[in-house]
Amino acid sequence: MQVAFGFIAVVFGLLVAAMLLAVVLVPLFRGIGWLVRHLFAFVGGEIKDTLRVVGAVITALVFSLLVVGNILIFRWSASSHFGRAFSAEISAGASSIYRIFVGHPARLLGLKSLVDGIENRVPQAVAAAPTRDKPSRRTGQFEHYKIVGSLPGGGSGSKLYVAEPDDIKLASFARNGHGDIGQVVVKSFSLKDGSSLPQIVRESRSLDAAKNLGLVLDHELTPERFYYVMEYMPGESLGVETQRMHAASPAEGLSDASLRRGLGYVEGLLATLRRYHDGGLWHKDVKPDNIIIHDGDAHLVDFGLITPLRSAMTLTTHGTEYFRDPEMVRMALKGVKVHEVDGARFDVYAAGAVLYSTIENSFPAHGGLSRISKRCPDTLRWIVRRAMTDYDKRYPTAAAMLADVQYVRSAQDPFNVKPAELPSVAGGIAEPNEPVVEVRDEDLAFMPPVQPTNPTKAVPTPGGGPRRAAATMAASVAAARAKPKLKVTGWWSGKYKLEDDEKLAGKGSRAVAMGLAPKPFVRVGKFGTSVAESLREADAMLDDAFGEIDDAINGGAKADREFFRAAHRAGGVGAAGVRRPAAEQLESARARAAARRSSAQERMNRHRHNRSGRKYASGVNFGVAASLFIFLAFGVGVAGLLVIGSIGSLKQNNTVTVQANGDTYADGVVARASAAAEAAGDGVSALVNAESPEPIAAPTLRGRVLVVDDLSRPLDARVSAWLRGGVALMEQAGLEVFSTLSDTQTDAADVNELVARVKVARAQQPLDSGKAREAISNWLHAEDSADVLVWIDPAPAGEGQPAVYVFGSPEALEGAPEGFLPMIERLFSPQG
Amino acid sequence: MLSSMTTSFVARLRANDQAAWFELWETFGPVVRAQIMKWGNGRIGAETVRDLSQETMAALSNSIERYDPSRGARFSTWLLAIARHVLGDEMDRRMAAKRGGGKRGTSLEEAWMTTSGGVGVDEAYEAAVFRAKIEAAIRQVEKACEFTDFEIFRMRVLDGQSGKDVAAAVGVSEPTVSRRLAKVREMLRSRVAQTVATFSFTEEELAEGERNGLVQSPNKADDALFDEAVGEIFHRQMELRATGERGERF
Repeated sequence: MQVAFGFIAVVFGLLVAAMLLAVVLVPLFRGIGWLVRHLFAFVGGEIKDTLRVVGAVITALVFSLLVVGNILIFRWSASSHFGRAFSAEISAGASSIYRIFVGHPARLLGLKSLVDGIENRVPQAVAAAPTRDKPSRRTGQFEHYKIVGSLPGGGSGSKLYVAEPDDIKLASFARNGHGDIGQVVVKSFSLKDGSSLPQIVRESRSLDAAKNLGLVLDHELTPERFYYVMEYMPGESLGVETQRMHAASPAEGLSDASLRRGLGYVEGLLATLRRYHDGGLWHKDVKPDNIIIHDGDAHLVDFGLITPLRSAMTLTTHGTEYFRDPEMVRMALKGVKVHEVDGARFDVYAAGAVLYSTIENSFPAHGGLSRISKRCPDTLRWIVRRAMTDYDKRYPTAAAMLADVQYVRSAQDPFNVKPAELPSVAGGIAEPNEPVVEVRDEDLAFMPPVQPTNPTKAVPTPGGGPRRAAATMAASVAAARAKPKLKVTGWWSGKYKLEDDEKLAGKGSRAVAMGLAPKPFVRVGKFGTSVAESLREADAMLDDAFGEIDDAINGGAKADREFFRAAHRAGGVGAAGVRRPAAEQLESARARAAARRSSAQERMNRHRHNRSGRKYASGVNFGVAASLFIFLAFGVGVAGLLVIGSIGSLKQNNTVTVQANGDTYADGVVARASAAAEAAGDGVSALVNAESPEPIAAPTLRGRVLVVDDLSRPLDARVSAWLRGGVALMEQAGLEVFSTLSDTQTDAADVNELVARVKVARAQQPLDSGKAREAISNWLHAEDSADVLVWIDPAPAGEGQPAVYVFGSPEALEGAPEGFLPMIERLFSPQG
Repeated sequence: MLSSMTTSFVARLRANDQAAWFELWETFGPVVRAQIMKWGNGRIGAETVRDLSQETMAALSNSIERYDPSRGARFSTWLLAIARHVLGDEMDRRMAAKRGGGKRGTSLEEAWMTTSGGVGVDEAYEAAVFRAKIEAAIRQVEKACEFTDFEIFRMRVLDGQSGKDVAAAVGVSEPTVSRRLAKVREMLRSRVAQTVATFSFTEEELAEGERNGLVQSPNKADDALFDEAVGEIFHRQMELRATGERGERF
């Protein structure tokens, strides 16, 4: 029984231990582990960022040197480049400093949310901030437009300004059918503002196409810049709107109302795309950021990549990842031409991706295989997949996809709609009534502008505005394509004439032969109008067709155009309805052509002249300025140090030399010596013997001094130090000292020889006697080895202080300062 | 011995066929990006990793000339070596550009040619490479078969819907769903075999399909296992892609 209880107790104990382990210890250890990781992350982060700061400072210094170096060798562009690199290093260093003092400590304290705004949202907002509200002085103003604001620039190096056109421009817009224009957006490219030539060429190439759809209101190309004007659509992008809708919906997905709203936007997009495709254009950059929601309608903007569907250009990989069909990239890499594929299908793919992002609040990272995890009808999943599936199997047109989306949106309960019911599956796809007009690059220039319509409002109205526009366009293009009937008049000469207009025969055949036959000009005019009106319209269309770009590139084109126009008129009816002789008309046309050609050439020359030296903006940037500042500050600092050093070296003559006796100096000795040196002026040393509390100002001298002492050996340590100090001070004053007490004396034998000779000259006479003084002076005069003699004589009977006698030859003392000999005497005279 | 498909693909890469390099990057880009993120250990931003484009890969096509299959490197190891080289080269170029100089030449380490590889590979990476092959096969099937057939396969296998629901959604009978599903499955089996053969250098890599339940000569029971394996592999690969696109490491 006890065993059973024991067993139960053990089991119970084990269970309790296990529970304790699971409930308390495991979380505790986890917590400790988390804390340790947290601390290590903090310490590691601090160390890493500190090193980054140091590295950034070093690198920045190197860059600043490179900036200055390149400026010195006149490599402005390189210096500008290094200036930018310098700025980047400073920026990186500043970020690291922020992390060291704010970011890491905040994370350590669990305040990550606090710094998230600064670290993430602020940079995003700064990046998305509009540019300056006024064009820079370099860009210049836009005539007939008043700039009232700016928008964030896109990735094409452009600047976007919001502007208000003046009355003249508004009237011009109204004439062209844009009667309700309020504010406009001016998209400006300038080489000076950082745009590149390829960007400008690409945008300008898409310009004519966009203009024909009424998307572009105005444009201008000058040597300074290129800009075009579009209607301003205020509002947020679909990306922002999508985030907003998802924020207001449950986490599972969009609410029913939001879903319908989102589908409405997609419908608007598809209707716009259908209009583009009907007009023979391919947008090529459909994505949520390029869809502006204004008054509940979706407006597709950014015409930078618009391409004619029948363009002869090679496909490019331009576009935005995740919204660009990978198949298009493959084709582009293979060198496929635009007209060899159906570009509209790539827009359909992008529309499917937009629908996906609207439902999922994310981008389709896996193309057609992207999963939709949010709540949405199965039919929408089907539509997205159908739009993003393989190139050959996706919706053939935007209209087909639009029909499906409309079907789902209009259903009572979209969640009850089966994919099998969709028009595209059930065979009920509403294809356009009118045939799709295929537009070639060359056709576009001859198209009349289409009346602009609100794309979202113009969607499903067969025979409505866009349809009529498309029909008009179709008629125009068909007319443009109509070939004149030629009648050959001379097989050998190649002459021929038009069957329906024989007036153009002969000289007029040049126009036909050059491939720019007058056919479009005759037939493009609206039906039912007078011939004169048709001509005027044809002239206007010609002016539209050949823009300023052509003028700048090919000055002769316009002249030829005038020639053809003249030739046409020669063969037709004059503007006033009065026929002139063909020869006269031709003469006049030639004169005008010559004038135009000359004018175009002048413009070309001016353009070339203005363009020289401005291809690349290599001005002073922040990095260059900062580098120069640092370099100059460094230079000034070094120069200052050198100046201070030289002043110091000048003052070094006022040296204070302290001769120690033992290990200690007397209090205030050094200070007094410094004051004495300062007072003595340049070229004077203040010599302080520790034994003599008062400093001795000694000039810096050149001369030889022989020191002789008759003191008995061994010398007392104190006396020895005193004497040696005196000798050392004389040596430091610049004198050459011969003494057995000198620490620097190497040849003791020579010194002893000198001492012996002077002692012989003295002949045991007392040093204070006149005979001794005379004998020693004579000896100094005769002896070349020394100029001054210092003789230290012991006190009689060893009592009192030793006497110091200083002798000097008159020649040696010439130029020496007054009181030199007494000074020497004092130097060796112990005080106290 | 390499299969003819592998040698053919490698030949295209050697010929600097941009499309081949793009295909390589499209197929294995997410895996490589995830691995680079892992290597970068937070030092390399998601943007930098994303910027490593197929053009950069194509620029390295010369390195493939030095590939020696007799030394027994796995395809995955080879890919990793390239990825590492790409990263290093990109970093060098950026630094050189920062310095104002030109591109500094880098040399590809050849340690990867040996069996051990010389580069740190782990099971997660190997599995990700295999899943990428299967995903590529699924994409090929999507291209090759009818949209409706593939949708039936997707709903039935990838989304896990019942045959009845799929039939109702598409508006066909259940036997039709089964028939079309079988058709897509067979196509997928064939494509899996081709893809694995194309992107495998060793026998071990070739046998990975069988090991993961993708039996090539199946019976009726194996079909369900095959579907299940495909579904699981696909979803795990989607997770990897989603992780990579969020800039996280796997």
